[in-house]
Amino acid sequence: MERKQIGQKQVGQKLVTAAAAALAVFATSDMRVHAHHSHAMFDDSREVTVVGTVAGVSYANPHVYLSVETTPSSGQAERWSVEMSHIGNMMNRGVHANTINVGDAITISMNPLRSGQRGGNYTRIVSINGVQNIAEGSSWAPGQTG
Amino acid sequence: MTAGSPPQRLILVLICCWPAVPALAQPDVNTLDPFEGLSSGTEWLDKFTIEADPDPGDPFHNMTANEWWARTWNGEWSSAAAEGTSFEEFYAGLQGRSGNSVALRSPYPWTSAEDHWNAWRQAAGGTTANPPETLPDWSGDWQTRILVTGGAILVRDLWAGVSEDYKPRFEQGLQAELEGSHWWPADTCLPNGYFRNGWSLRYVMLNDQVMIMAEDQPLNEYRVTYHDGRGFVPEGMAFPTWYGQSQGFWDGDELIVWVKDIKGWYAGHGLPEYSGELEIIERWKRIGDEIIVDITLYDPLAFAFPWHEVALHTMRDDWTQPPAAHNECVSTNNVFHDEAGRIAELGPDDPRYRDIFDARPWAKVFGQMEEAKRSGGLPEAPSFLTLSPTQ
Repeated sequence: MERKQIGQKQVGQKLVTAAAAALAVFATSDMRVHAHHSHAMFDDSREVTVVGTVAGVSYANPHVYLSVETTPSSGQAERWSVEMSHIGNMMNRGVHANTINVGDAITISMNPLRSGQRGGNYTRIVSINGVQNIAEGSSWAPGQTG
Repeated sequence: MTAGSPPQRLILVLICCWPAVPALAQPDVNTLDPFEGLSSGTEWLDKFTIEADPDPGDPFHNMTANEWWARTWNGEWSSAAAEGTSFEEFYAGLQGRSGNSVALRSPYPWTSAEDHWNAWRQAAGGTTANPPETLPDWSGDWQTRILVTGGAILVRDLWAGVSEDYKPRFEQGLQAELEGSHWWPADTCLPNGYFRNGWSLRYVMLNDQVMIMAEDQPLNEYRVTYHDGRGFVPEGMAFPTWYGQSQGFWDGDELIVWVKDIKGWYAGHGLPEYSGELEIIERWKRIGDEIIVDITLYDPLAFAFPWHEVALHTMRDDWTQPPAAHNECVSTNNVFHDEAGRIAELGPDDPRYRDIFDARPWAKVFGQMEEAKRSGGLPEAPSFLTLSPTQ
């Protein structure tokens, strides 16, 4: 899997595959799952990590979304739309309505849109306000700061 | 995908050369009193879950409907093609786990919903309503498990249940999912229809009707079943709807429901289309903290024979699971299908992007109005507060 870093600093992280994300969907649901749309628009062979500031949070079904503003080396601010799972899955993964807030510094990884537009399906929250994620995969559990 | 493309031809060849489907064992059911002696919903589900040995000649590679979409929904074919993998090699790598399937053929002897309804009504003493003195209480929140349309059935068993006229449509949908061009109603906020009509259900029991609210559906859908003997909406006033119109009568604590006037639709997820001829007979019974629904689907256009389905609702009476929540698909969706039929999503730099983070979207519209007045696109109209009061 190709990985790319966008933002102000490099962050180490474990490889998170789309397959793991899909398994998490199944693990938290009954026989029928909340498959609102297929993920074929996301490139599961690539992973992009953005470092920026949370500009918007939409905690809603069928998908939780984040808007993340980054300032890449070019100096031109960029806005990314980060798709997450539905509320039920996000709660089970430890991401509640007050976990991520506007203004938070965030580092987040995603499978990017195949179209090349600035959006993707998140694979891992790396850190929020400097607090590192110690959970596996797409879940969130706050660890050490820094 | 265009008709006759190499991948499609591959599937056609495989299907046409596949031997006839072997007859499946049919569960033993008391056709006039099917829930007789039943002690749990799981017992009813198990009755219709059948063992299925892997078949090396299965053109559907022993995949269930769930496996069919779940193994392709990340656009695996697009990634494989980009690496130079042929479609033949890609499809060869898709193999289901098999093991279990679902008995699809109805265990009942009737060939139409009307005959089915009349037989069960006669068995209940010819009633048209007959509510018990105390209605069973189904009120509350329930989580659904469903077999066939939940995707637990092998695709080869579904294929056998689809009419010859509808097989080409089914094949096209399956092929599209293999190629990552899934078309699911909810991806553009359309109703899922009867085949995927609710995961988290809220029942409201009234003296004349049962209301089911499905909050997790794209349009926060609902369904009403009248059980006061009023009958269907008369011909001439009736029209097709996503979940049809439902009438019920009681046989003791069991509610028998006839559903008709359903819009023909397609739900994707490895499932075939159904037509506007679909009519359904349901039998509902609560046992403990479960509600069992026995479902028979009659569609003479789309199905090769009457289908049978089983649904089990389990009560959710605490907050150990996340609550059901309003579905905001219409206000948050940026998913679309591009000119090649592929599923795609708009990014924030695209002018068509719906800015779901804009807390005051009306302010943008009002600003556009002011700009249009300045540029002459709209007639001049100063703020009304700047005008002198008239006597």
